[in-house]
Amino acid sequence: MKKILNIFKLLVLSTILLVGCVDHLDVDTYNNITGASFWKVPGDAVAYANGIQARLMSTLDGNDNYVGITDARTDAFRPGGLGPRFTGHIQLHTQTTTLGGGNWSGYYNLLHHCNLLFVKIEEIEFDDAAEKDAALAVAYFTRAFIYFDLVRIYGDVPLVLEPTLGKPELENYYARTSKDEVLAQVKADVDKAISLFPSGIADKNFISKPAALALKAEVYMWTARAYSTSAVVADLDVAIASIDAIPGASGGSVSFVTSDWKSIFKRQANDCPEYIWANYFDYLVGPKNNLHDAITLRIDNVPIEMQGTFPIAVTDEGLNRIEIGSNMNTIFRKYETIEAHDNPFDKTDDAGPFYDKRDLRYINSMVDTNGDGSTNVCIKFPGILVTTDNRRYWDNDLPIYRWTGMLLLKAEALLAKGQTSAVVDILNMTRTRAGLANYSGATDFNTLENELLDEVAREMLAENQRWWGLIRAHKVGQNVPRFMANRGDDSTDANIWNFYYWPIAESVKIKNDKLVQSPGY
Amino acid sequence: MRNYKKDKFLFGRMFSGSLGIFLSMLCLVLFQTTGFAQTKTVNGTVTTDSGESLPGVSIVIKGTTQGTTTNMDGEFQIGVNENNVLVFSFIGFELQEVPVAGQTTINVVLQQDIESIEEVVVTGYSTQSKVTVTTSIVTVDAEPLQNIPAGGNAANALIGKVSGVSVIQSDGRSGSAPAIQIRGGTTPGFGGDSPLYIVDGFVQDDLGSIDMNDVEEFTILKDAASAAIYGAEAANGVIIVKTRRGKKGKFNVQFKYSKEFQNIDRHKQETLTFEEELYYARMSYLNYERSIGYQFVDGRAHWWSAVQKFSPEQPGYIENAASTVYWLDDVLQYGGGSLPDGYYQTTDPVTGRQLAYIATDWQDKTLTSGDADSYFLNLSGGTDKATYSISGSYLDVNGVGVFNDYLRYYLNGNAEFQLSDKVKSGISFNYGIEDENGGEGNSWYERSGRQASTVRYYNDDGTPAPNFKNSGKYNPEYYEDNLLRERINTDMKLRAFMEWEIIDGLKFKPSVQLRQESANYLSFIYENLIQGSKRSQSGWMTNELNTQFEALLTYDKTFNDFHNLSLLGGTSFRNGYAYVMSSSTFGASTDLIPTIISSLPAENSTTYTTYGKTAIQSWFGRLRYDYDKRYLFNASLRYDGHYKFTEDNKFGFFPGVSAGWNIDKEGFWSGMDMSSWFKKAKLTASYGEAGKSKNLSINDTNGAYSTNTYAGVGGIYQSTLQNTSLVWETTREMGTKLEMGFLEDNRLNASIEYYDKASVNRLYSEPLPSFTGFSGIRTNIGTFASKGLEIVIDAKIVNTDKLSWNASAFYNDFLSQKTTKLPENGTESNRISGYFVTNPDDPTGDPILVGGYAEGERWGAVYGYVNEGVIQNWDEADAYNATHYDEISASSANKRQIKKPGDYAWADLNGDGLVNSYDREFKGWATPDKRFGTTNRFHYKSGSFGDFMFSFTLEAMTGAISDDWHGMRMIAQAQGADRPGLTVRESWLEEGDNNFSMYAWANRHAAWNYERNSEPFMQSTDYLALRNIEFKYTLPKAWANKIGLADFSAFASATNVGYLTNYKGPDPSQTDAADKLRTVPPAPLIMNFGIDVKF
Repeated sequence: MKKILNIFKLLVLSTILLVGCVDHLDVDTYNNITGASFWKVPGDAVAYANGIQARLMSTLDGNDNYVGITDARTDAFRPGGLGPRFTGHIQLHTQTTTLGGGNWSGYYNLLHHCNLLFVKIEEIEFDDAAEKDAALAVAYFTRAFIYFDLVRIYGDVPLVLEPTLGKPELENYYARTSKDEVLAQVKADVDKAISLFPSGIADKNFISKPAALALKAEVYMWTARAYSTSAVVADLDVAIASIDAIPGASGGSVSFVTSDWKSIFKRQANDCPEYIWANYFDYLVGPKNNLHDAITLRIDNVPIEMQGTFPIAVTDEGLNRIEIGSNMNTIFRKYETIEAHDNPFDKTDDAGPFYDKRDLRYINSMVDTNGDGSTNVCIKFPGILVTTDNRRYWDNDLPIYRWTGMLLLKAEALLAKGQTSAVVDILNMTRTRAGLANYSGATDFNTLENELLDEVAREMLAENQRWWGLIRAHKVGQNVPRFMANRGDDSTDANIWNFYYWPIAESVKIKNDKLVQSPGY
Repeated sequence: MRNYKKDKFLFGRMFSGSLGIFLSMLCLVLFQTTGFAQTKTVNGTVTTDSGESLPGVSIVIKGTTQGTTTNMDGEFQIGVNENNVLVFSFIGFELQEVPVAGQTTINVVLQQDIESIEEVVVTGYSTQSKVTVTTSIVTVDAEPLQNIPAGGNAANALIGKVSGVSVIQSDGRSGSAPAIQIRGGTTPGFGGDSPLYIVDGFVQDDLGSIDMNDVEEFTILKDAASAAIYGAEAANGVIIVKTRRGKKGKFNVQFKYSKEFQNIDRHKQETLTFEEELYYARMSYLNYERSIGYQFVDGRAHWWSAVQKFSPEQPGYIENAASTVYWLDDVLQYGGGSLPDGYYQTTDPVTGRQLAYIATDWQDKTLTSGDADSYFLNLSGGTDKATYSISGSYLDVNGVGVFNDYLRYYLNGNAEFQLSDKVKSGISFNYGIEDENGGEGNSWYERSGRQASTVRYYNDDGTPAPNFKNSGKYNPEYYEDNLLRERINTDMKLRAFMEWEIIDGLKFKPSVQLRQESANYLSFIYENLIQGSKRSQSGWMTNELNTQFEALLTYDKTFNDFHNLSLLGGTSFRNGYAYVMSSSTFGASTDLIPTIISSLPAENSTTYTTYGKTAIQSWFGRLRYDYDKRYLFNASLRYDGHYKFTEDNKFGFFPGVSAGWNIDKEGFWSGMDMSSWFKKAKLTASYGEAGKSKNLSINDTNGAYSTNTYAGVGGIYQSTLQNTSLVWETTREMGTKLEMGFLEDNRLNASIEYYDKASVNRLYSEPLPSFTGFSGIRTNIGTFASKGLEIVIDAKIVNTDKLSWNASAFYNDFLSQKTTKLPENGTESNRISGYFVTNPDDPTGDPILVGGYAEGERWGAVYGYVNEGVIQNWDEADAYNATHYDEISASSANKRQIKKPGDYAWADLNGDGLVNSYDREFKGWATPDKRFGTTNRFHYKSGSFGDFMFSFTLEAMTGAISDDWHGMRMIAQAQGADRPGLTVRESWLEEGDNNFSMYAWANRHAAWNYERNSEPFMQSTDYLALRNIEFKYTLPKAWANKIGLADFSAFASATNVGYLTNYKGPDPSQTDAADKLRTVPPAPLIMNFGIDVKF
């Protein structure tokens, strides 16, 4: 009986033990940071700003977010039939709501992160105000950058300034906000970013005050010219002032490289005086450059006789290359250099005068794989050859803002203001560096504008200036024949944006009944 | 910055608490056994009423733990006092008490216990007489399934055997678990709905490495009422597995050897001849080039039908080039004047020149046969004090296809001890080691049927050619030669239980399982022509520790002869710890050391560790009552807490209630005329709820932040939205069942069962509008309901002394599978994941949303295009082009390309002049809705020549459709590695041909003229499969005894024997991946030959 009593005691004890250990269900999580444990200390906000920046940069590396939606929509690249050439509907201007329709959720993901930081950073006490300012500056810059892209691509877009904290109620779904309102927000955000960033550029792979000034210049040039053939002078002036402020704000780390055009482009952005802001790539630690993997030269499409001609090529690298558009041949060949010079890719060294007097930017930007000038492939960012891996990594840091680009943007503003001699001065800076004589052509607005567009094409190939430049100049139709063929006439009437804007994907629209389709679809 | 609680001792208080109880119990029990003095010895024998001697009978002196057992001849000897009473007991026999009272010889005849031979069913935590079961529980005796080759996974033996349980073997990798879904699961579509496994009382996610020969019985809890006792993880049913136990009685030895032969010849498709293939390839190459406006240029290195250079500058072939096609005159001129061995020649249809080429049948290289050896040994036996069973097995599979080897060591032992007449205890251990070499993620199988014959396999010197550099389509032999890979999995389980009968009918049973699983992986790529000298290396190790502590209190009592009451209460606590350590690097300077060593460049290496914890706490109880086994009642309740949910939602209640009426036990039944043949009738009804949280992560409730890096700087961003309001997903199921038995001995049994179940608060990633920045948030999305009918017939068709024929058959009908509730989202029927198509009722009106999930609609609709046949001539083409633009093309460059004679005409359903995704109509359903299975077993006892057994299983599914345009029958691509499919032979060439489009073989990318769901490429996947056949011969006992054996049998069996189907892909049972050979080898046909010897 005593034993039985003992056992009953044990039973009671065990029941208490088992029932009493409910707190064991609160397990610690080690592999993830959860909402409960984050946003406590200043370091969290700093890390979040870094996270935003990293995601912005990887967004810019995506095929459809960089060259893919800019230069590749123009005559700079030749759309191919298949494979890793620019065959998408975006590049061909053949988008419909179901084929190649835009899905902006990646952009809105970034916007959420910015908006979340704005809310959560206020819950944290900072000892160092500069630390908070820097984190805020990154978020303001990113929000401005993304909305600027969204407006240029879609026109009116939902203007979301609050983070997503859970499933939104149906009645709180966002409709599109007018582009003017969104652009006003962009301008306000970029100004905040400029005011919050410290001066100088600590690292050109990261956003900085000069980068924010460059963004501001782009935004104001856009509002000055894109929507009307008559420029808004006040906006032009803001753009010019922003550009002029860049070298000072850079603390001397941004300057014009006067000689040897080729030497501007290094693997590391910080080795490049002209770079203001560039996307970081490194084949060893990642990321690798997705885009230039596709657009730069692959030897396997080079005829066997020509192999070995190009110092950058490695045997048999697999993918096809994307060709430079044929119109670029005309633009790059328009001028010969003053002095004949050595062609580094001429194996026989007996090439005719054509080779010897090509624009220095021509022979350093592309390779003529067939030897007849018809098939050119980009070699502007040659990366590094790694013999142990038996392949080349296209891991040059890619400039997003480069000082020459800013100068040419300023030239565009000056031209719109009628200051033609100042425009020619800038043209001559870049021409001289490319081995060409000073510009001696006509200086009427139209001729000079075309000349400036050509110069941007030569100077900034694969740096994503041409598509937006053509829109600002209202000259898409005359330069991009497939746009004409596939989307319709490029006129300056109100309808033109029906052709420039992308449709939103059916899947995006289905999920939000408040969205109206982009005009023209 | 953040303070994690320090776990001083890994297993925490819970472990020490329960262990403490267990040890204390053990001590108490040991003290109970005390000695008595004996004064004399009693002898005797124990026999049955038919006179057979009974070995292993337990003889205990009443009131003590002292006792003995009878020997092989039923004899015993025991020391006793005069006033002792001996208690004789043996399973299946009635207990008998005999006072010693002066006797020295006590011979006892034990009577068979009628009650105890009644079928007993495992119900979860306890057993129950089958007669009183009121829920949907199926017991499957494993022994007849043990000769069916299971491909290394015991669950495969259940394919086609059980009503309401779909088992699909989609993976021919040895040891891979099949997909199991009970009653259609709770997730729309197939997969991800595996049941909960309870192996020897403990929860497992899968069957693991258990050997089928060691399984004694499967019990499947199909409905929520029966599964509710397992609560939170039982929403998809429960499969309870019992491994072999020792039995009281003689010592048994069983040895079994079998040899399997596996092949996947079914997956080999008929192909064009080499000559034909090159003919069509060259023609399509030409067509392709033209279609995209390119000039025809020979010599493209990676185009397999392109003619390669064979010249003094490039003697032999170009290294790594895919194509082995050359001009014959080049080969003759530079190759020594004669065509080297292995070369074929044919005329080039493009130029008329002669081509020379080497051909390889790639299917032969990758769809290879396999074999396996299986050894199994079991020792078992027991006395009245202890029973034991020890099983060991060794399985060595050289599987089908490439990279598919599997080796398994399996050891399982258990022992139970009768510590006193009130206390039992048992321990068991189970250990499995698997050495796997499989699934290296290269699409060997997909490629095998599509790879062009002209793709080089061997270099001229006979070594494997690396092939297709950088395209990932390597030569498997070359890959294997250059890859070192080791993967070893271990799974160790240690268990102990104790059972103490506190008072008559009241039992207390604590138990514990400790389990450790590990996976260890190492790989090294040698310097080779594909990756160069990069020498990529990786290694990882996962170590998972799981503990389960459980305590049960049961009470069984019969009151006033008729009132049978059974009570159960219990609690269980499980926690788990998962550690992962992983490292990878590259850049070793030598092939000699395949492991990651410290001298490797640090900047190349990646190392990470992860550590995760889980915890689940449960309480449960059950009340079972019947009146004279006539009126039956059963109720259970489970209360589960799960670490994944937030504070307010951690716990869920899962009730189950059922009742039954054994009509045949009523007095009036025996008075009815039909009772002479209508022997049994039982009606039951049940309702239950069971939960599911498997597809939920703790990140879904708490939200998660991830890390990233850019330019060497680490960042953090929110990766998962938080949803603290998530609650348990619950399956609510109502069922009713009528069981009937007919004729003498219930020779014919039939049951019909109807269920109506709903998965409420389904956990799902609900799509969010894009402006939120997230594609979805995990929510309790709504309700998915299904109703079904299950009919089972079981018959002893022939039942003579010599011959028996037992047949069982089932028919399952998923009467309806509908979404019944979804969150408000502003669309009609709150449809999610839908897409627009033309409204068939108003083609020119607004398109309608279809697909995805919508309230009131069955899920899994398949929509496709309408193929109007091949355009025969330019008049037809012009007429078509005047009104149609085909917008669908993988390549936009060819979008809106005009149709030519030989192209398909596609219908423009909404008449808008465009053929696009709106021009789709309903074609059918993605998943089957009817299943049928039958197993027939013939047994002939010849007497003097031994026993002959033959059985077969047929299985059928109907109601689904699938496409085969991914398949090798259709696939073709002039560029890249795909070759023309057999349909090329039937393609349009001139007016009047009306089979397949002319460009079928050439325009996969170019015009995308055929690659879409439509009539010619979609077929019903209805099938009737001969799933298993088995022959078994058993030697007459007398013969076996002569050679010193107790029993000897030999068997031959086959599984996955063949299909009767109109489906043109290789395997119609693969409904969600039909005809798409992928990275894993398909399920093979297995033939198995073996012997089974008992000593």
